[in-house]
Formats: sequence, structure tokens, C-alpha cells
Amino acid sequence: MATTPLAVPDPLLTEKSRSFSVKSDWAHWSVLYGVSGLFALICAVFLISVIVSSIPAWRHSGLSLIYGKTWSQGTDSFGALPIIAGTLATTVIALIFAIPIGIGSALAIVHLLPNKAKIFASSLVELLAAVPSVVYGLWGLLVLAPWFEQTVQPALGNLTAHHFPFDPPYEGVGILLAGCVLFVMILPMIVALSRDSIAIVPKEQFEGALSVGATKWQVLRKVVLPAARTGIVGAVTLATARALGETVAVALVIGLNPLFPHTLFSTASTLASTIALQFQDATPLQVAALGALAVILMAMTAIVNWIGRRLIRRTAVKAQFVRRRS
Amino acid sequence: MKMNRSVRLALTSTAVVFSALSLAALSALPGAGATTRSSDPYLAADTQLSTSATIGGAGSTFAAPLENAAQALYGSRNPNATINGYQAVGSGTGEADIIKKLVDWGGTDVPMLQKDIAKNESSGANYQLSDFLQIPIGLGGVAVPFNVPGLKVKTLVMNAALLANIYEGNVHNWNAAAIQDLNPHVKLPHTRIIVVARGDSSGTTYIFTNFLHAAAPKVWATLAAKTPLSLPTDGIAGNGNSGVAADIENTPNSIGYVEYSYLLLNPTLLKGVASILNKSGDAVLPSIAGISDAAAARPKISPLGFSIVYQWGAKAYPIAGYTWAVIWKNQTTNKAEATLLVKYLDWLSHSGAANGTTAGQDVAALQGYVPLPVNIQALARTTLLQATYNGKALLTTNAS
Repeated sequence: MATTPLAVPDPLLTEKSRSFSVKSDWAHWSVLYGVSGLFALICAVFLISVIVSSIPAWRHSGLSLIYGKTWSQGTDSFGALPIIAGTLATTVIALIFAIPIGIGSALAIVHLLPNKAKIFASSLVELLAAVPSVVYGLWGLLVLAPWFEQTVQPALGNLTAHHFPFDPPYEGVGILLAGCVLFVMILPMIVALSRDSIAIVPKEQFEGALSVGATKWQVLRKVVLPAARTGIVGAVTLATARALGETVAVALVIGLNPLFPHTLFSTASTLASTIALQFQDATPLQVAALGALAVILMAMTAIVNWIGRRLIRRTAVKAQFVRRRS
Repeated sequence: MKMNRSVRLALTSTAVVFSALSLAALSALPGAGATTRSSDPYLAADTQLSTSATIGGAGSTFAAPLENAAQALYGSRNPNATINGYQAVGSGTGEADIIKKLVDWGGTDVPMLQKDIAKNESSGANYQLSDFLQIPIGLGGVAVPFNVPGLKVKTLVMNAALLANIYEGNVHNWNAAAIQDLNPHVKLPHTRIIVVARGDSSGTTYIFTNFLHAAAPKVWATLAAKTPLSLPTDGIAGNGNSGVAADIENTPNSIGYVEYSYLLLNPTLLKGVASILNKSGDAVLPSIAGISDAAAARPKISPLGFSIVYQWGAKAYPIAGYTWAVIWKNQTTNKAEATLLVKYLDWLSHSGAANGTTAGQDVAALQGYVPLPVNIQALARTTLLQATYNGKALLTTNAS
């Protein structure tokens, strides 16, 4: 039975600009354009002022701000590469744990758990998402760090006979602890947003796949996850951006030592925590250097967002292509 | 009852004498009303202000507990005075603020030099150091606690060269020869030393590096500075004195430096505190007496020569330093505010013992600082006497 495909508007195509009738719609449109223009203006002013405030540092160190290996306020030498490495290391550790556990939890909440457990788990996730970052940092420092230092780190060290990547000394604080604290912080975000996008996958697709003989796990893997991919990618992108920019929680548990992390137990420093820590009493040149760190951080977040949007767009284009063909 | 004249006379004179005695007793209470003893007339006038005025200061975090406690007491003694809450924004910002005249006084752990004026505030390039007065208002020391589990003793002897080598990453283990030689009878474990330092700009770091450079210049060649130290691998940087204290408590085999008053606030740190070898060759634990002796060993300090680390003296603790308040020498805006400013700073830098009252340095002792020695209090007074308003001296014994 041939059916004409539904004319579903593609949200990625921009709306045709409408000309408005001056008589009746100008108030409506001018308010809309005004408000969105104001928002764009605020964003632009913010970005430009941060970039301008960092210009003295770029003039002082040039591009070695990005690839230099020593960050020392005392000698006014600013090389942020170890700090960028620390930021990436903690974020990657957090994502390695958070993506599978987060998406798995979301799938479990929507499709696998019984009803009462579903509601309980959802409320728990939303509760965790509302906890302020500094509480996570304090918890990490007071509860996790001693446990890491006494139990977890020696156990991991025994696994590799005290060699890389689990070498002594066992200090508790370090990039592994910071990565774990970040994991606990971004997990609720991934679970909550993925849960919503998994829940809106149409029941017909789920039941249709079951009816052609797929097992539940095959349905989840081949039908539900791809259909929810847009939302999941968006959730992971937001979580990555939060992990990149997390300041206080990381500052308490990472050790704040701007050197390259050479093992998983090393102390290191991240962009945001360096800015927060070294801002007080900084001379104007040092403030500019910290502004440069902010610019680097914003650039990294923008790249992550761009990657996320590319992934979403690719999914949506493929889906559109599939829809048009059928 | 009818009394004859002599009995009435006896009763009346007893009553008079009794009330005179009780009045004298009441007025001898510290700070209660007008004092009858005033061996320090300036101090007596410090808490009397005839016109109401408001002032505020900002700067060093080291001075913050002292300022907060002192302002509360001063405000209760002097109803015409309003002192806005001290902003603990750091010494550098405090100096910048006073140069820009945003505050009435700036708190700094390291007195301003001429080059600091332009470095901190580019608009201040035309000002001279002689345009400012710098007054010592607090005295503190830097203790070196460590956390070595299983150590049978509560203190280890260390000297500046050893500490400098530890902080540069040249001494790796607790049972290194450098430490064992200074502590021959102590069994030290073969564990890695974890170095803890301040990650933010700090006057405590300044005093510590001042000591390392003064006592071991060949090992620690860099001059004293407030900026964070570069740590060796696996070192930990703490945020503030409390951050460093928490890091030392939580990390076994660690060593760090904190403001002396933090030892009193965190008694667990007392499990291991280093005794530092001073210039006379004695190993001294940090204490109020030791820091006082260090201050007394160099009575002639000035904003250009203010370092009291590594002094001669059998019991002098070698890691100590002052904190200062910076004001403009010639006040121009408002006479009442300028008068309040000099009176408050004079009160803050003195002890009230001469007048039987409580003044700033008595509050400091309660907050864990070391009270300023008497000769340094006198230096504060002579410096404040140079403050002028329209050419006339501000600090007077008048209640105005």
C-alpha cells in the first residue's frame, strides 16, 4: 500500500524570512528581534571583553602560551600546555566512566526497571543533578581522597606491580580522583537528558522490531539508541562542556600542580581551577594570562559543541535521507 | 534614731570615702568610660571621635582575622566611628586599591617599594614612595608541619638548606641523608616526600621564601616573592592556609608551611612540626615567645628594611614577619575620616596595657597573632605622627 510520506518539516532548514505587515505585526517582531538582538549583543560583548583583556599576555608570550610547558607566575613565564593536558585528562577519565554508565542507566530507567524503581531512580538522578559543585568537591576531598589513598590506589598499584600507570606515591588527590568526582557530577546530567530522548522513541518502532523477532537487547541497540542518538549526543556534549569548565570541585581534589600528569595518580591542574586559584593578587600581566586561559577554555568548549552539532546534523541528515527514500 | 554630731560626721565621711573608692574601682575597669590612668594620652584619645566618620580598608588575607575582630571592638568603644568590613582581597589588590584611593588603607604583608607602585597600578606611575606611610600592624610566623605516619617523635630538626632542597625536589625520601644527618637518633621511613605549598599568592609564601633565600642563598637563589612556588612532581598546591593544612593532614608523608596561628586552629598538625635551626645554631619550635624574640632581635625596622627572618638570638624563631597598613601621607578629602583613620591605626598597632584598656594588639593575641613588641608599637606611633591634613599633623591627643 503506497502512502505519501508525511510532510515533516525539517528543523535544520532555516525558516524563510517572513516579511511582516507593518500595520499589525511590527510590535510583535520588533520585540522578538530586539530581545534576541540584546542576547546576541551581551554574548558578543562578553566574548570580546574576555579576548581583549587577555591581549597583553598574548603580546608577552605569543603562541607559546598554548604550547609552552612551564606555567610560573613568579617568573612571568606562561605556557599552558600542561594545564590543557590536565584539563583533557580529567575530562576524558570522567567521560570514559560516564558515557557507558549514563546511557546504560537511562536505558534501564526507561525500558528495564519495574515501575516503582523507575520513579525512584528518576527522582534520585534529578536530586543528584541539583547538588552544587562545591559539595561534590568537599565530598571528594574529605571522603573519597582518604579512601583512594588508603585502599584504591594501593590496590591498583598492586595490579601493575607499582609501574605505569599506577605508580606511587599514593596521595589520594590527583587526576584520577578529579576524574571520578567529575564523573559523579556529569552522570546525572547524561542520565536525565538521555532518559528523555530515549523515552520519546516511538513505541511503534520498538514493538515493530520486537515483532520481527529481535531480542530486547537487539532492539535497544539497533533501534532505540540510534533513534535517540540526537538527544544522547547533545547530553554528552553538554556534560563534556561542564566537565571542561568545572572549577571548584576540581580545584579541591586535583592538587593544583601545573605539570604534565605522567601517571594516573599525578597531581595536575586544569584551566578553570588555575584561573580561580591564581586570580587573587595577580599583577595586570598575570590577570591577562589568566584571561588567555579563559580564551583557551572557551575555544575548547566551542570545539566540543561544534563536534556535537556535526554529529547531530549527520544523524538528522541520514534520517531525513532515509525518510525521503521510503 | 537621734544621732549626735560626731556620729553623723563619721557616717558621712565613711559614705564619702566609700563612694570615692567605688568610683575609682569602676573607672579602673578596662575601657569603661573615662579612664583615670592615662600614661598614653594618644591611646586614650584614639577611642574618642567627636564627628562621625566612615572608613574602610582592603588587602592582606593574613591580617583579615585581626582586622575583623579589632573593628568590632573599636566600633563598640567609639560610637561615632563606622569602619566598613575589611576586604581580604590580597596584598597586591590592597596596594592597588590604596594607590587608586578606593580605600582608606591598604593591608599588605610586604611593604610597597617604588617599583611596586607602577607595577600594581599603572596610573600610579607618577607617585613617589614618600607619598605613603607604612605602619606595622601585625606580627606572625610560619610553621613547617609534616605528616609522617609511624614516626616516633613529634619534631624533626631542619635547616633552610634542607627545606630549600626539599622544595626544589632534590631530596626525595624521608630517610635521605640530609634529613637523617640532622636527626641522627630518629628512625625515618623510606617513603617519598610529598611537598605541599600555597597555590595562591600569599604573604606566608613571601616570609617562607625570604627565610630560604636569607639563610641558604646558594640553594635557594630566587628572591622572596608572594607568587606560588613551582612544585616538584607530585607536589600539591593548597588554596589558602586552611587548604594547605587540610592537604597536610590528609596526605601521609607530606610536608608544608602554614601561618603559625593555623597550628593552633588545627591541633592535628601538632603531631609533627619541624624545629628550624636559627642563626645561633639552635633548633627552635614555633611559639609566641620565639617569634617575639625574632622581632626583638631587629628593633630598627622600616618599610625598606623589614625582614626579621633568620636573626641572632638563642630562642629566636627564624621564620617570622610583619604585616603592614599603607596610607597616604597627606590626607586631603575629609578631616573627620582622616582623623578616624590615624586614630584607628594607632589603636590597632598598640596594646592597651599602658592605659589599662584593651587595644588592637590585645585582640591580636586572642586571634593567634604575636603582639607587636613595644619598640615596634613606638615605630607605628612615630610613623602615624607624620600623617597630615592640609599640612597639619593629624594624630593628636585631642578627642576630636
